[in-house]
Amino acid sequence: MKTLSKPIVFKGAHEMPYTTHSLSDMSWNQTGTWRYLRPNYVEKIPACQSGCPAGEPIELWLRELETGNVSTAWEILTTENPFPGLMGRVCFHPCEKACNRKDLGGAVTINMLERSLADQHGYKNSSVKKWKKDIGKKIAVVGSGPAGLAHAFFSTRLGHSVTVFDRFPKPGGLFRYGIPEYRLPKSIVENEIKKLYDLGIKFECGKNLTRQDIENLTKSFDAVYLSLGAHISRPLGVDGENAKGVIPALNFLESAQLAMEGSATQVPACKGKNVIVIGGGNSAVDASRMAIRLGASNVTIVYRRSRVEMPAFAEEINDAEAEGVKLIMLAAPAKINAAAGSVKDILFTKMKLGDPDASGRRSPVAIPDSQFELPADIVLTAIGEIVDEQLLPQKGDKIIFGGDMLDQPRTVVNAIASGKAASIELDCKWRALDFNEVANKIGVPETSVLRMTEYLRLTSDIKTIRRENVSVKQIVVKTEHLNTYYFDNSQPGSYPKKGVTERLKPNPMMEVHSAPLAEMAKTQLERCMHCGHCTECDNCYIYCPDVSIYKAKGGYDISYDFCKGCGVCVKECPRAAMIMTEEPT
Amino acid sequence: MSHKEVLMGNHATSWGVKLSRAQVISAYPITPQTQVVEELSEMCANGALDAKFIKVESEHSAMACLIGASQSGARTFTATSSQGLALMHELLFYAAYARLPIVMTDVNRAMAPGWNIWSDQTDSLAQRDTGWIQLYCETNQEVLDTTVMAFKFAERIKLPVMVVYDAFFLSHTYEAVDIPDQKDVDKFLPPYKADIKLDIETPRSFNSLNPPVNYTEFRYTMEDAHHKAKKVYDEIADDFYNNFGRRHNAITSYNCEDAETVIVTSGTITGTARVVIDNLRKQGEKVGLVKMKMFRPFPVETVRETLGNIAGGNKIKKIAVFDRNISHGLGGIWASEIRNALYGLDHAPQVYGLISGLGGRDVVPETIVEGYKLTKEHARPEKNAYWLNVKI
Repeated sequence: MKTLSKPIVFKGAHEMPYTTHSLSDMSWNQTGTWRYLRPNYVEKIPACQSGCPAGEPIELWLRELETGNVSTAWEILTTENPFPGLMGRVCFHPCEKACNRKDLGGAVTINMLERSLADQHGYKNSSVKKWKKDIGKKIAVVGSGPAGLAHAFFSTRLGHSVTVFDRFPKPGGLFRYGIPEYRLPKSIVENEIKKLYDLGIKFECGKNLTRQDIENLTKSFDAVYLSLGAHISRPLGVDGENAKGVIPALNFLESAQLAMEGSATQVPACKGKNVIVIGGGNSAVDASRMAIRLGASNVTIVYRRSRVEMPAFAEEINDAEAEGVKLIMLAAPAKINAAAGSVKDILFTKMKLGDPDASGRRSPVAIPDSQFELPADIVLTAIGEIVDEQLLPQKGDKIIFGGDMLDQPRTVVNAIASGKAASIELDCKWRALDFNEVANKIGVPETSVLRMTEYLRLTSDIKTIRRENVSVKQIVVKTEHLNTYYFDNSQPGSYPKKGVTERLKPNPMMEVHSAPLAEMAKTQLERCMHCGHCTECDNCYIYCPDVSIYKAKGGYDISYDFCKGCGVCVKECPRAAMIMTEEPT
Repeated sequence: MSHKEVLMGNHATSWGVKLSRAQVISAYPITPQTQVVEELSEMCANGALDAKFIKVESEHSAMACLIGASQSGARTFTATSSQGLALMHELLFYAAYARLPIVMTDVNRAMAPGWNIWSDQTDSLAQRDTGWIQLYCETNQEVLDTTVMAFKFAERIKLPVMVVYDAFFLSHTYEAVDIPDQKDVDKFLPPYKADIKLDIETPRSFNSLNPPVNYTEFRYTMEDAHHKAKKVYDEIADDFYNNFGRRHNAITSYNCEDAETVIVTSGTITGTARVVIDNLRKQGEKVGLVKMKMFRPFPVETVRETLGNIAGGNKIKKIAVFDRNISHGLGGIWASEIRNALYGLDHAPQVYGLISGLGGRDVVPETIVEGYKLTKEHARPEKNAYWLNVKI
């Protein structure tokens, strides 16, 4: 440090400065030496990613989409989830429940924006690249539903050969034969699955494999991924349920789709009929709305608990009601009456809610002498699905289960996540990596979410968007970590839906949801707070009292020669993309 | 070409600031200054004035902003009154001791409590020890002209300048004002060039520690600047007259050639006093008027020349100083400063301190006549200050 050898003596006023100031440039005084804490730029895990079972880096693809980089956004998304066009229509969007913006006006409409991204990218040019080289391993996937397709997608990109078997004429599983056309157009399903064909995945459809067939697969494949789904509907367990016209709701939906595809299947004629749907889950609601569209004159859902206990998505229940489906709560079938072998009416017993059962919901308890009758031409049963135990082979180390066969929530995104997890597990096994150790590094803390992006960074030389001089912290950003002063309380828009009259005429199978207009999508994109990631908002740059933050490519540099470690930058970062750490000693 | 508009005093200030091309304006609103800054913000919004307008949460912050901006070489301006000026008090010292050429308008308003928004000079005069230049105005034209001169003056002498005028009598009253052409003002007032300034390319430290061994010399050189400032002001006033045809001297005499009693005023009381002088003259009274414009630096020499009978003889016998202010425990401030300036002169006249017009009470011709009569009735002032038009 420069000091004067002796004090300056001014000979006269003319020599004096107007006020005290340093003789010259003070750059030699490197105030960085005063520091005991230093600021750093980091990347943390945004809350949305921690809420997505498929681990999509949602904040990142929203940011690329906002900047207009549709292809990049799409590539980022399809590294974690093969089907933005399908998920943007049917996912139950737990990401929005996790989104920190829910505390500042309302969650970002991620689901709608994912559909918008898929629409903008288009469905024709949707080829993806492989990530690793082939090492001669072969996988058989049985069941081409969400889990099986996802597993095929990821395993092929990781370099392995995959053949997919399915009992139906076309691939898709519940995408095609479960979720109805007006929720998920099959043209979109076909287009989204095309990328699997482009990857060279072989499909053998219309093959109804037996247990023996499945066991034989272990001889010619290095792994067999069973994603058969839970496609056996529970029987009602009441007299008369074998009458003609009593059909599992799942089968009803399957045959409706098969008929639309031109197969010889007969759909039970609904036109002008009374249709009763027993059950309260998504299958029940889907079947009821399909019955309306097939021309039924009365469609009634009867559920043994009350409306709040119905497992179906609330929005779907509201839509069903709007479309004319009636709801009767707290009633269970006691007997089905037939005439000439076909169902005529059902006897119901009224229920009341008693003590909670294993699921935590209050059990229905029959009310004595409370029976009533409802006429029925068709009865669709939807009281739960189970795995077909007869197909399960002896457990072997080549067999892996996935999707609804696992003990996990029965949603599409959970199925996709299970397909991905199995791909990573197999890839680790075949490339001699410790899966548990890997899972620790690539998982989102305190969840079972695995990130393919992280797996690729760890085990290949694939670069991802990452700034230099930014370190990665495996911390999930919550609202309390943000500086919410910098965000308004704007409310989100809603995913556009057709009005009820438009839905049913002229084309009742027309998709109910529609893409948002460009202006609305833009406004919704701008609501993302990009938790844990620098968006170059310049707050740190403007606020640094030591003028020690400089703009650099893709972000900022801190001059540690002068930074005194006051921490104002970290405090004023709206999105917790900076942290203070102790000075290395 | 200049053009005439009917302007309220506050807008005359806005025009003065706009013509002077102030670069950073930071202000907090207070009655009766609000229109100064309102008009300036509109001028900034519609591009008439290219200035950075910083909204702040208090007058203290406003002055803090300007100190920073001025130290980085920008031409700066703010406006305030009474409580706001008082809130800035510590930073008034800072601005002056740091030798920053900040220009501030103070619209004279009474200090509270009782809450009073009307004309009273106590607010600005109470800041007399902070080191600021203080210039007072009688008309809206003088307000505009003084504002333009203030920037030139401040930047030459390296001291901040306060331009002061009465609440409501000038601030809110419309008078015809000649607005000079921008080109002419640009000729008169070139852009501000600071010698040494805050510059992140060449970082310096400013206004730092100054122990006993050095501190006195800085006060000495600053006081020297105040001594030189009167002469600098005279040059600038001449320069202004040559460019714009209007003269605003530090002290102006009216009808004093054979006056035995001189009434001394500042601010708008001056205008009323002129009419009273004319009437008294018609009645044969030998009375004149001196208008004080400069309060700091206190123009001791000129006061002595004008009022001190230094040419010899005993021409002016009595001086009646009208103070629209009160320094409690002392009396009127102008009277006290004038007495001080005249002390020791062989033929110093009697100085009568007259307090009137506090809290915006109108100083009507009758009040001025009352003060004049008082000097006739008392051979010498028995009190430091006489209160005129007091109801109790």
